[in-house]
Amino acid sequence: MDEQVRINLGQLLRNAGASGNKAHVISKEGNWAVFKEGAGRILGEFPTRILAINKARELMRTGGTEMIVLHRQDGSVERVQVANQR
Amino acid sequence: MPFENNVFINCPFDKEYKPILKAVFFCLIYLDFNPLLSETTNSASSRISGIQNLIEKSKYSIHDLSRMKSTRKNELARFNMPFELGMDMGCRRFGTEIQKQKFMLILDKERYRYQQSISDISGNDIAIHDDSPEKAIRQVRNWIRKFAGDQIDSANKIWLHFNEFNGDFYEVISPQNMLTDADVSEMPWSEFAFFIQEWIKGKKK
Repeated sequence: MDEQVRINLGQLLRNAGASGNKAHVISKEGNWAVFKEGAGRILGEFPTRILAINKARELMRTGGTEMIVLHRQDGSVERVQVANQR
Repeated sequence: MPFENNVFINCPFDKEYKPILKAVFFCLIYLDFNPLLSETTNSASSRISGIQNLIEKSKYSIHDLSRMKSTRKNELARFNMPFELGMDMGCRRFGTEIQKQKFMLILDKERYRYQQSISDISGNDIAIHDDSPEKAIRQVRNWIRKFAGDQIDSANKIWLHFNEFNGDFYEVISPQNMLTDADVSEMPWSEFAFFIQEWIKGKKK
Protein backbone atom coordinates (compact mmCIF):
# COMPACT_ATOMS: atom_id res chain seq x y z
CA MET A 1 0.00 0.00 0.00
CA ASP A 2 1.29 3.43 -0.94
CA GLU A 3 2.66 5.34 2.09
CA GLN A 4 0.46 8.40 1.58
CA VAL A 5 -2.67 6.22 1.19
CA ARG A 6 -1.73 4.41 4.40
CA ILE A 7 -1.36 7.68 6.32
CA ASN A 8 -4.65 9.06 4.95
CA LEU A 9 -6.53 5.87 5.85
CA GLY A 10 -4.94 5.92 9.30
CA GLN A 11 -6.28 9.43 9.81
CA LEU A 12 -9.74 8.32 8.69
CA LEU A 13 -9.62 5.44 11.18
CA ARG A 14 -8.47 7.78 13.93
CA ASN A 15 -11.45 10.05 13.19
CA ALA A 16 -13.78 7.03 13.07
CA GLY A 17 -12.48 5.85 16.45
CA ALA A 18 -13.28 9.22 17.93
CA SER A 19 -16.74 9.63 16.38
CA GLY A 20 -18.86 6.81 17.81
CA ASN A 21 -22.24 7.03 16.08
CA LYS A 22 -23.07 3.45 15.12
CA ALA A 23 -25.09 0.70 16.76
CA HIS A 24 -23.71 -2.85 16.63
CA VAL A 25 -25.30 -6.29 16.76
CA ILE A 26 -22.63 -8.60 18.18
CA SER A 27 -22.13 -12.07 19.57
CA LYS A 28 -21.65 -12.08 23.32
CA GLU A 29 -21.02 -15.16 25.43
CA GLY A 30 -23.39 -17.35 23.41
CA ASN A 31 -26.10 -14.70 23.09
CA TRP A 32 -26.54 -11.70 20.79
CA ALA A 33 -26.28 -8.15 22.04
CA VAL A 34 -26.92 -4.61 20.84
CA PHE A 35 -24.62 -1.82 21.85
CA LYS A 36 -24.35 1.82 20.85
CA GLU A 37 -20.94 3.40 20.47
CA GLY A 38 -20.25 5.89 23.21
CA ALA A 39 -23.03 4.55 25.46
CA GLY A 40 -20.48 2.39 27.26
CA ARG A 41 -22.97 -0.36 27.93
CA ILE A 42 -25.01 -3.09 26.29
CA LEU A 43 -28.54 -1.91 25.38
CA GLY A 44 -29.98 -5.41 25.27
CA GLU A 45 -28.99 -9.06 25.21
CA PHE A 46 -31.02 -11.69 23.34
CA PRO A 47 -30.97 -15.45 22.80
CA THR A 48 -31.18 -15.10 18.99
CA ARG A 49 -29.57 -12.81 16.44
CA ILE A 50 -32.87 -11.83 14.85
CA LEU A 51 -34.21 -10.51 18.17
CA ALA A 52 -31.06 -8.41 18.55
CA ILE A 53 -31.43 -7.09 14.98
CA ASN A 54 -35.06 -6.12 15.71
CA LYS A 55 -33.92 -4.17 18.78
CA ALA A 56 -31.25 -2.35 16.73
CA ARG A 57 -33.80 -1.52 14.00
CA GLU A 58 -36.16 -0.14 16.64
CA LEU A 59 -33.31 2.05 17.87
CA MET A 60 -32.80 3.31 14.32
CA ARG A 61 -36.54 3.96 13.80
CA THR A 62 -36.65 6.10 16.92
CA GLY A 63 -33.60 8.13 15.85
CA GLY A 64 -31.17 6.50 18.29
CA THR A 65 -28.69 5.71 15.53
CA GLU A 66 -28.09 6.34 11.84
CA MET A 67 -26.26 3.11 11.16
CA ILE A 68 -26.38 -0.52 12.28
CA VAL A 69 -23.38 -2.81 11.88
CA LEU A 70 -24.29 -6.50 11.80
CA HIS A 71 -21.41 -8.66 12.98
CA ARG A 72 -20.69 -12.36 12.61
CA GLN A 73 -19.94 -14.51 15.64
CA ASP A 74 -16.18 -13.91 15.18
CA GLY A 75 -16.60 -10.12 15.33
CA SER A 76 -16.13 -9.50 11.59
CA VAL A 77 -18.72 -7.44 9.69
CA GLU A 78 -21.43 -9.15 7.68
CA ARG A 79 -23.10 -5.94 6.48
CA VAL A 80 -24.03 -2.42 7.39
CA GLN A 81 -27.52 -0.97 7.40
CA VAL A 82 -28.04 2.77 7.06
CA ALA A 83 -31.23 4.65 8.07
CA ASN A 84 -33.82 4.88 5.22
CA GLN A 85 -32.08 2.03 3.37
CA ARG A 86 -33.45 -1.49 3.41
CA MET B 1 9.47 -1.59 20.95
CA PRO B 2 11.53 -2.88 23.90
CA PHE B 3 11.76 -6.43 25.27
CA GLU B 4 9.28 -5.45 28.03
CA ASN B 5 6.45 -4.84 25.50
CA ASN B 6 7.10 -7.53 22.91
CA VAL B 7 4.78 -10.53 22.68
CA PHE B 8 5.79 -13.34 20.35
CA ILE B 9 2.71 -15.06 18.91
CA ASN B 10 3.31 -18.65 17.86
CA CYS B 11 0.26 -19.76 15.90
CA PRO B 12 -0.90 -21.05 12.50
CA PHE B 13 -1.56 -18.58 9.67
CA ASP B 14 -4.33 -20.36 7.82
CA LYS B 15 -7.65 -18.80 6.89
CA GLU B 16 -9.62 -20.77 9.49
CA TYR B 17 -7.46 -19.52 12.34
CA LYS B 18 -7.31 -15.87 11.21
CA PRO B 19 -10.38 -14.66 13.23
CA ILE B 20 -8.70 -15.79 16.48
CA LEU B 21 -5.36 -14.27 15.50
CA LYS B 22 -6.99 -10.95 14.61
CA ALA B 23 -8.76 -10.82 17.98
CA VAL B 24 -5.60 -11.68 19.95
CA PHE B 25 -3.56 -9.22 17.87
CA PHE B 26 -6.09 -6.43 18.53
CA CYS B 27 -6.23 -7.23 22.26
CA LEU B 28 -2.44 -6.98 22.63
CA ILE B 29 -2.19 -3.62 20.84
CA TYR B 30 -5.20 -2.35 22.80
CA LEU B 31 -3.33 -3.16 26.02
CA ASP B 32 -0.15 -1.38 24.80
CA PHE B 33 1.82 -4.48 23.87
CA ASN B 34 3.68 -5.14 20.64
CA PRO B 35 2.68 -8.43 18.96
CA LEU B 36 5.39 -10.12 16.88
CA LEU B 37 4.63 -12.83 14.33
CA SER B 38 7.00 -15.11 12.46
CA GLU B 39 5.20 -14.07 9.26
CA THR B 40 6.69 -10.61 9.64
CA THR B 41 10.31 -11.73 9.98
CA ASN B 42 12.88 -10.64 7.41
CA SER B 43 12.64 -13.00 4.44
CA ALA B 44 16.39 -12.64 3.83
CA SER B 45 17.14 -14.75 6.91
CA SER B 46 16.07 -18.36 7.35
CA ARG B 47 12.66 -18.87 8.91
CA ILE B 48 14.06 -20.57 11.98
CA SER B 49 16.58 -17.82 12.73
CA GLY B 50 13.79 -15.25 12.29
CA ILE B 51 11.71 -17.10 14.87
CA GLN B 52 14.69 -17.38 17.22
CA ASN B 53 15.16 -13.60 16.97
CA LEU B 54 11.52 -13.01 17.91
CA ILE B 55 11.84 -15.39 20.88
CA GLU B 56 15.04 -13.67 22.05
CA LYS B 57 13.54 -10.20 22.00
CA SER B 58 10.10 -10.96 23.51
CA LYS B 59 9.46 -10.97 27.23
CA TYR B 60 6.02 -12.45 26.62
CA SER B 61 4.77 -15.15 24.31
CA ILE B 62 1.51 -16.78 23.33
CA HIS B 63 1.67 -20.31 21.95
CA ASP B 64 -1.54 -21.63 20.40
CA LEU B 65 -1.53 -25.42 20.12
CA SER B 66 -5.11 -25.69 18.92
CA ARG B 67 -4.09 -26.63 15.37
CA MET B 68 -1.33 -29.15 16.11
CA LYS B 69 -3.58 -32.08 15.14
CA SER B 70 -3.85 -33.05 11.48
CA THR B 71 -7.28 -32.47 9.98
CA ARG B 72 -7.03 -34.61 6.83
CA LYS B 73 -6.48 -38.30 6.25
CA ASN B 74 -2.79 -39.27 5.87
CA GLU B 75 -1.71 -35.80 6.98
CA LEU B 76 0.94 -35.65 9.70
CA ALA B 77 0.49 -33.60 12.85
CA ARG B 78 1.68 -29.99 12.70
CA PHE B 79 4.82 -29.76 14.80
CA ASN B 80 5.78 -26.11 14.29
CA MET B 81 3.80 -24.73 17.22
CA PRO B 82 5.00 -27.25 19.87
CA PHE B 83 8.54 -26.97 18.46
CA GLU B 84 8.55 -23.16 18.83
CA LEU B 85 7.07 -23.48 22.32
CA GLY B 86 9.99 -25.77 23.19
CA MET B 87 12.51 -23.25 21.86
CA ASP B 88 10.89 -20.50 23.92
CA MET B 89 10.97 -22.64 27.07
CA GLY B 90 14.63 -23.37 26.37
CA CYS B 91 15.33 -19.66 26.03
CA ARG B 92 13.68 -19.02 29.40
CA ARG B 93 15.59 -21.86 31.05
CA PHE B 94 19.03 -21.35 29.52
CA GLY B 95 18.96 -17.72 28.36
CA THR B 96 20.21 -14.50 29.93
CA GLU B 97 18.98 -13.20 33.28
CA ILE B 98 16.47 -10.98 31.44
CA GLN B 99 15.20 -13.90 29.36
CA LYS B 100 14.64 -15.88 32.53
CA GLN B 101 11.86 -13.35 33.30
CA LYS B 102 9.82 -14.52 30.31
CA PHE B 103 6.08 -15.18 30.71
CA MET B 104 4.19 -17.47 28.41
CA LEU B 105 0.57 -18.33 27.78
CA ILE B 106 -0.31 -21.61 26.11
CA LEU B 107 -3.65 -21.76 24.34
CA ASP B 108 -5.60 -24.79 23.19
CA LYS B 109 -9.17 -25.33 22.06
CA GLU B 110 -10.22 -28.12 24.44
CA ARG B 111 -9.43 -28.65 28.09
CA TYR B 112 -6.82 -31.37 28.80
CA ARG B 113 -6.42 -32.22 25.08
CA TYR B 114 -2.71 -31.30 25.21
CA GLN B 115 -2.14 -34.03 27.80
CA GLN B 116 -2.59 -36.67 25.09
CA SER B 117 0.29 -35.34 23.00
CA ILE B 118 2.48 -33.01 25.03
CA SER B 119 1.92 -33.79 28.70
CA ASP B 120 5.35 -32.38 29.63
CA ILE B 121 3.83 -28.88 29.66
CA SER B 122 1.41 -29.66 32.51
CA GLY B 123 1.76 -27.07 35.25
CA ASN B 124 2.15 -24.15 32.84
CA ASP B 125 -0.45 -21.47 32.12
CA ILE B 126 -2.76 -23.28 29.70
CA ALA B 127 -6.01 -21.59 28.69
CA ILE B 128 -8.85 -22.76 26.48
CA HIS B 129 -10.48 -20.63 23.78
CA ASP B 130 -12.94 -23.15 22.25
CA ASP B 131 -12.09 -21.68 18.80
CA SER B 132 -13.89 -18.50 19.85
CA PRO B 133 -12.23 -15.09 19.25
CA GLU B 134 -14.25 -13.66 22.15
CA LYS B 135 -12.89 -16.31 24.55
CA ALA B 136 -9.37 -15.87 23.15
CA ILE B 137 -9.54 -12.16 24.02
CA ARG B 138 -10.74 -13.03 27.53
CA GLN B 139 -7.90 -15.53 28.08
CA VAL B 140 -5.22 -13.17 26.80
CA ARG B 141 -6.58 -10.23 28.81
CA ASN B 142 -6.79 -12.31 32.00
CA TRP B 143 -3.24 -13.56 31.49
CA ILE B 144 -1.95 -10.00 31.02
CA ARG B 145 -3.76 -8.90 34.17
CA LYS B 146 -1.54 -11.29 36.17
CA PHE B 147 1.54 -9.17 35.48
CA ALA B 148 0.05 -5.78 34.42
CA GLY B 149 -2.25 -5.44 37.44
CA ASP B 150 -5.93 -4.68 37.95
CA GLN B 151 -5.98 -1.37 36.13
CA ILE B 152 -6.66 -2.76 32.68
CA ASP B 153 -9.93 -2.79 30.75
CA SER B 154 -12.24 -5.77 31.13
CA ALA B 155 -12.38 -8.50 28.50
CA ASN B 156 -15.96 -7.44 27.80
CA LYS B 157 -14.91 -3.87 27.02
CA ILE B 158 -12.07 -5.05 24.75
CA TRP B 159 -14.50 -7.35 22.87
CA LEU B 160 -16.92 -4.43 22.33
CA HIS B 161 -14.08 -2.26 21.07
CA PHE B 162 -12.84 -5.04 18.80
CA ASN B 163 -16.28 -5.21 17.18
CA GLU B 164 -16.44 -1.42 16.97
CA PHE B 165 -13.00 -1.31 15.32
CA ASN B 166 -14.10 -3.95 12.79
CA GLY B 167 -17.11 -1.78 11.89
CA ASP B 168 -14.92 1.27 11.27
CA PHE B 169 -12.28 -0.80 9.45
CA TYR B 170 -15.01 -2.22 7.14
CA GLU B 171 -16.17 1.30 6.36
CA VAL B 172 -12.75 2.95 5.86
CA ILE B 173 -10.62 0.16 4.38
CA SER B 174 -12.87 -0.37 1.38
CA PRO B 175 -12.96 -0.11 -2.44
CA GLN B 176 -14.27 3.48 -2.24
CA ASN B 177 -10.89 4.39 -0.75
CA MET B 178 -9.03 2.87 -3.73
CA LEU B 179 -8.20 -0.46 -2.11
CA THR B 180 -8.54 -3.82 -3.82
CA ASP B 181 -9.85 -6.99 -2.18
CA ALA B 182 -6.25 -8.27 -2.08
CA ASP B 183 -5.11 -5.10 -0.31
CA VAL B 184 -7.52 -5.98 2.46
CA SER B 185 -7.37 -9.80 2.58
CA GLU B 186 -3.57 -9.94 2.24
CA MET B 187 -2.77 -6.90 4.33
CA PRO B 188 0.58 -7.30 6.13
CA TRP B 189 0.22 -7.60 9.89
CA SER B 190 2.46 -4.57 10.44
CA GLU B 191 0.05 -2.46 8.36
CA PHE B 192 -2.94 -3.88 10.23
CA ALA B 193 -1.18 -2.97 13.51
CA PHE B 194 -0.75 0.63 12.29
CA PHE B 195 -4.49 0.93 11.58
CA ILE B 196 -5.42 -0.51 14.98
CA GLN B 197 -3.05 1.96 16.68
CA GLU B 198 -4.53 4.91 14.77
CA TRP B 199 -8.08 3.85 15.65
CA ILE B 200 -7.16 3.48 19.33
CA LYS B 201 -5.58 6.95 19.36
CA GLY B 202 -8.93 8.34 18.16
CA LYS B 203 -10.85 6.27 20.69
CA LYS B 204 -8.72 7.37 23.64
CA LYS B 205 -8.84 11.10 22.75
